Amino acid sequence: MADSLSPECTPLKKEYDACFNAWFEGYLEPAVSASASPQKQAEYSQRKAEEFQQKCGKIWESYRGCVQKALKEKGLDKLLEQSRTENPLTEPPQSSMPPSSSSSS
Amino acid sequence: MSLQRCVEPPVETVWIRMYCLTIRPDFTWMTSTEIQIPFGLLHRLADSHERFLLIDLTLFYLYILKALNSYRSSSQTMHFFNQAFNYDHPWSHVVIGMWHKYPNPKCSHVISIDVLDRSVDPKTGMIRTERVLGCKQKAPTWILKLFGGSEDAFVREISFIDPKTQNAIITSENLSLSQVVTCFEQIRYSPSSESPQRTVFSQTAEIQARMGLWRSAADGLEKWLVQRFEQNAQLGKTAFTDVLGRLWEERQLQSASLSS
Repeated sequence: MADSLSPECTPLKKEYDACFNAWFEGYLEPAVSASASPQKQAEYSQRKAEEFQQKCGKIWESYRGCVQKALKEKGLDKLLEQSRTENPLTEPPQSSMPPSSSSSS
Repeated sequence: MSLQRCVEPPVETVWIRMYCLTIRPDFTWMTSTEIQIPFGLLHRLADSHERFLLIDLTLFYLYILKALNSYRSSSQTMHFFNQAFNYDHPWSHVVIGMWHKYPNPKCSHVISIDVLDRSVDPKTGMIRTERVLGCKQKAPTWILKLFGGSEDAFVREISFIDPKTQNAIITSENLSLSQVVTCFEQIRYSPSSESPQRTVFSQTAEIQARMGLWRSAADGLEKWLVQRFEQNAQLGKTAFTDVLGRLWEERQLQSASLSS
């Protein structure tokens, strides 16, 4: 995996990535098959979400903290904030074309 | 300016047209004067008077104006659409592979990736990930200088992986230089209808200039160009008027002295 934007966060990032990848690879294919039944899917998703939090929650907190600091140092936090305001994308885009930017300069 | 040199008959017999351009506020232009002068004479005039309207300078300005004009007259947003492409891997493999894409020697411009946020929706099973990618800056130097861009380019990527519908949608937009232009790219991975062992990839991109900033930069440039042209046109006119006046005055005197 590529490095972190700040070298001191890289070891934390690698640990987090490894945790996520391990969880994700076990998650995906059963998730696809569980989708056949809505009840099964809901129960599976719930269980797996909790499992992810359990396994990777701690390393995530440390890694996240490191990244937040690095972003501030690089002056990216403001740009990020602006981008998030204009395109929050909390839901997947509906159409195949991306939503246009809401602000006009 | 040496009068003698201008009065000498030109060596070259090639004639060229020189245009004085007037730029209208809507960026269209018109030629206001058409002057035909011998090539050799122009050379001498250009040598002797620095601020004379030179052909190559005109063409350079013309080029800039053309570029600006086509930019402003075209739509604000440029859309690109890539043809769908098939990967010979099932969808789940492609999606797992997504997280291992970098580093790879063919995409050496990506130098850092960090996860900013990740959430697993306990109801839908959808995974939303927000990442920031650091890339080696590929913008030309003049853009960086003009708009104060940083060395590295950063991209904000948001992905939605939906195992229920087997759709992975990844959107990316630039963070760096986002005050100037936004490049919004969207990629979709879904199983191919032909075979479950194949995955379809489709990509769209939308590039939007922040017209406000471009407009003020373009307006500033336009004003400066118009001023320069007017200055040069004025100087050119007076300089050339002098030249012509003296040239024909001289010749009149010469022919008068010959006949007398």
